[in-house]
Amino acid sequence: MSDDNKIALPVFAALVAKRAKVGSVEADAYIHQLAKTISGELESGGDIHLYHFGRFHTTHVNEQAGHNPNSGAPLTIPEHSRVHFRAYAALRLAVNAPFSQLRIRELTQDKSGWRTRPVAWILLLLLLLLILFGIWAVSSSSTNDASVAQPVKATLEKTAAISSNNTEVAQMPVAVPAAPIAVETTPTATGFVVSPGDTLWAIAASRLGDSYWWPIIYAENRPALSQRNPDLIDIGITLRIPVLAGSVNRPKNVDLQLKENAYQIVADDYRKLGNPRAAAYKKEAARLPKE
Amino acid sequence: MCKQDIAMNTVALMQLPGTSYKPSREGAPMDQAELIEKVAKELGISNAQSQRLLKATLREIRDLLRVGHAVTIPHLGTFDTATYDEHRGYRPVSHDFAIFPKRRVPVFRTGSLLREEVYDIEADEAGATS
Repeated sequence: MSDDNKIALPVFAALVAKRAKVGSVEADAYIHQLAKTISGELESGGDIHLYHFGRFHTTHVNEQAGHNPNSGAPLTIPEHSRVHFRAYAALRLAVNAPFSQLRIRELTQDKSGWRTRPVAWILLLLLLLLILFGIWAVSSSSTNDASVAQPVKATLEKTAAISSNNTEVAQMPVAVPAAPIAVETTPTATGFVVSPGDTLWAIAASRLGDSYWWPIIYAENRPALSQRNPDLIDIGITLRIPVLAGSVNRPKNVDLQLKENAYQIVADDYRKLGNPRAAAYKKEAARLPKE
Repeated sequence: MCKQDIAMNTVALMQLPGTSYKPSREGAPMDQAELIEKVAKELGISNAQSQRLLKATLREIRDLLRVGHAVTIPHLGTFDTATYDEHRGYRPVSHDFAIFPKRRVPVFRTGSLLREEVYDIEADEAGATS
């Protein structure tokens, strides 16, 4: 314990005087009187409590056995009192300021620490919201798909041959500018005015009752179309809807012949355009009369 | 009465073995205002002046301890700092051992005059000479 950090009383008195803006003599007298008063109070067994500084108090020590440190001879220490000083937090923190950034390190990792961290709770909440959103999105998309899946299923049952292209067939014969679905059917018995968004597939479904009969509409109106493409029909032209001898569900031989020819025409046109679906349509055309 | 007993028991539990908390003075501990008045009366100065000087003294001690100095006040004792190195110790909060960081604490060493005066409180009260 070196003396280099010790402050002599005159220096301390001068510092106190400077701080309190009084003479150093007065400060010195005050310090002495303060010490005397405190010790007098402690002698009478009292406590002294100083705000933001600490507390002086005495404790009673019972009689106990001890030994003389020089000779080792046993002796009895009589019961007595001793003075204690307990520093309050303000003083402790001020003194510990150089090391205040250091923290207690647990030897075993505390796994329940995340419970006290708000960030963990926020992340958990976000994750939960994400999961809920995912569930909602999946359920909503599945309800949307239900309308699409129905014709696809019908397609699968209907024609196994062109099953790989079913959805494409359903969507390919589109009017040139693909506008949102706005089907306007003109109430003419044999004519149909094409408006943006109409498809041969949809027209066949509404006018003939079966989408798979769309090639006969195409074959009927092929000379009127500007492009020989089964996927493209012109807006504004009036399509002639052929009248079947029987019905779609119960076709007669004439109708089947018409359908076979129409499929053949579509297959030819697709082949000219280099569309790979030509083969499937040709196969379907070859299969048809056996029904 | 009962409440006081409980309070005394809890305080006694915190003491070192072989010691006990035994205030012979009735009522609450002496607080700062009481000390200020007492010193002002002894010195013949105003209470405000006494308070200012007491505050200046305590803050000066605090500031000197903060920079690592030791202050000795005659007849009372020495205010000093002690530095504890990083050590392993039991932490009751987690019921486990932990590494406590290096820290500096204020310590007070009672002056020998005060220690000897306080030593025989009971003997004085009992009227015996020691």
